[in-house]
Amino acid sequence: MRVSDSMRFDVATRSIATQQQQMLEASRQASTGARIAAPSDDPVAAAQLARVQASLDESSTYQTTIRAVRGDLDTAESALAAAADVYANALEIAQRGANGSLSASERKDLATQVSQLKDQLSTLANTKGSLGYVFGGSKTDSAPFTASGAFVGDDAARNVEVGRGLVVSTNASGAKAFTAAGGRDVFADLTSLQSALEANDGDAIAATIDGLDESRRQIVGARVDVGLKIERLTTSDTVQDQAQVALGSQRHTLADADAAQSYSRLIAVQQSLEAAIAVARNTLSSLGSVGS
Amino acid sequence: MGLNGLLGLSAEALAAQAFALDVTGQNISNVNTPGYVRRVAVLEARPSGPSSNGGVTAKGIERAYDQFIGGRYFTATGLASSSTTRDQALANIEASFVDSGNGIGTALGQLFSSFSALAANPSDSTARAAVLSAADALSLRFRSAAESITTARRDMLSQAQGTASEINDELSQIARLNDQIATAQNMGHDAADLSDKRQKLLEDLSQRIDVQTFTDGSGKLVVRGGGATLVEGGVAASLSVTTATDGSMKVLVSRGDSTAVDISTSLTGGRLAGLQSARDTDAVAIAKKLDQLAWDVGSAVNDQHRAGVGLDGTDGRALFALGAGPSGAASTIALDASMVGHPERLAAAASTTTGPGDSDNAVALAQLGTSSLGAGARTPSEAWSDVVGDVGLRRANARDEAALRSDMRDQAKALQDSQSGVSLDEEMVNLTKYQRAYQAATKLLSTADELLRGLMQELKP
Repeated sequence: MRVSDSMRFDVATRSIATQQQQMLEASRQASTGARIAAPSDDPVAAAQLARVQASLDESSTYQTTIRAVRGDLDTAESALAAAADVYANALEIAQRGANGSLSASERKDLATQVSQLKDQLSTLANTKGSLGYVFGGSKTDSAPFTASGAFVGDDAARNVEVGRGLVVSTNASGAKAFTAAGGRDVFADLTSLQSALEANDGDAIAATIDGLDESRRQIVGARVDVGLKIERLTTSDTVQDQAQVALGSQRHTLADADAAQSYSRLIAVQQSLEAAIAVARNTLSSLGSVGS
Repeated sequence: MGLNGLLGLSAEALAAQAFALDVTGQNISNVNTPGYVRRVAVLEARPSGPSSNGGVTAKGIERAYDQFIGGRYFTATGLASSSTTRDQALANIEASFVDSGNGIGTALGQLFSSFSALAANPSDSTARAAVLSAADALSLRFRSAAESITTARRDMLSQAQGTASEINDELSQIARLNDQIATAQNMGHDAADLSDKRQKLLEDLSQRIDVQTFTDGSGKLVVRGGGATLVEGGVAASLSVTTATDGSMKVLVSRGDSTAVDISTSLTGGRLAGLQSARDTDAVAIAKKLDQLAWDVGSAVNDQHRAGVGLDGTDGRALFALGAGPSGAASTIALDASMVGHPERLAAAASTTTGPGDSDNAVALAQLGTSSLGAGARTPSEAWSDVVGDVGLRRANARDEAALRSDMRDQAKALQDSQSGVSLDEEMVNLTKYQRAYQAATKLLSTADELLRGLMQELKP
């Protein structure tokens, strides 16, 4: 092939341009540590990366949700624990009150204590958490129990999704813990103890003991239920933690450049650029040397 | 034949070598002139006969140009220019799909996260406001991505129009040169410089539109492009670029007063073809996918939102304002006017009888983020990754094709340069060759002169 001068120039320009372009890409990769700057760098990995990122976002959303609802469940659990204590106290009072040797005034004093316990219970049943009244079902904006102990909330579950397709209820049911919907109206049990004490009726007082004990167990049962819900949230939280570790390493594999590899590539490209420049210098210096 | 004949012979030799030296000089001077085709001095021995002494004549110059190699170079240039143009156009579009934490992918994730946060705390006004702002941000991202594609398409149309006017300018120059070359040749000139000029124009033209050239029976150069005749002898056609009713690019060729021919479907090379395929194939396909995604997400969220109840006890509200169908959805999607500034209207509850703690509809809305939506039956993030993958693949294909076509053009150029380019080494050799021949002819002249002088002295009375 006949070689003309413009061919020599073209080859020199082109090979330097190509090496410079590779040099630019190699230094971008080495300095940013990102393997993919634009989807076209690796379309399949870019698409996969978008999906992995979405899964990561999804997982951290589940965790945010879990952490947001958990606080109120903890509040509900301690409120129920305190409520169970109220009934343990009430039981003790009932047993003391049933003792035939007590005078009417002593029973009156006990009745006052029961009335205080009732106040305490209604405060506990109207406990407010960060997301509103914890025992009111969906009616989180108003106190679920009136001063007389009537229930005005509902038994709706407050659901959230804590894992793909895993919708769990995250509230303690006030209806099941405190009202007849759970078996016994626990406020009524306290009221009948109070009125039996006020009436100074030993038999009637003794008759309330079984009911009070059942009420206590109903509340303890509700507390166990809340404990299980908390445990389920903790489990989901751990599952999401593990998922995030797996997804994070997947993202790392897809998106990040291997530091050692990209650095050695940078050096290799740098050397070939120098070589291209040297070759070009050589070629051009021999131009037109005939006749000189 | 006599000594006088010898004098004539040396005069001819001097003239011929001087001509060859002149041609060598032209080649050396134009070593870097684009489009210059190397000249070769054609020297011819004069046949000797009774009336002629067999000297040398400079017959003229020859351009070292091969029409087939040239044709191949035009085609390769056209294809390289078309694919490079498409690659550049797609690079602009691709930039809107690089998700660096503020793109559609992130905004989609944030919308569904905000639904989850709402489910966790349905009566909280901050959580509600966050949903509205996430929905607004998502529709803004959709609109700006759609807008960037629309802008890119508009730019490509005006680029195509600019290219068409450059083509028109070149076509009329080529036609004028055709006339000038014909006139010069009729007067016996070789018109090599005019041919070089025309050559350069054709080369430039082949970057803008696919070019084929041939010489017709009457010796006129015909230039064809896009399946139509662009120049025939001294007559040039003119191109115009408009849009068809569906918004696609329409390229019309008109010659004289004949009706315009639509060549939109037969463009195969040059910038026009690259702009056309990026604008009317790639950009349209990407915009369509984006519209479908906006429609699938927007309408699914709307359907679910209508099923729920706001804090004010009202149901049946849409969250997004959407058109009637997927077409143009990405460029029009917005937060519904009835929702703007009314976070309490967000339908987190599933029933009118429950209280503000009911989160069932918010859960259902959040679950849309991981459900298969629309005709493609993909989750929003899958559909988005599909769009990203599609944009990336198109650009990667365009880039690979541009690299391949550019290599092919470089090869064709090397072939053409090998044929037509000036080699200084070669010219140096030629220079020496003709210099020596000239010196020899001078010697011939002086020898003849000496002989004649001697003869004159001998014959002196």
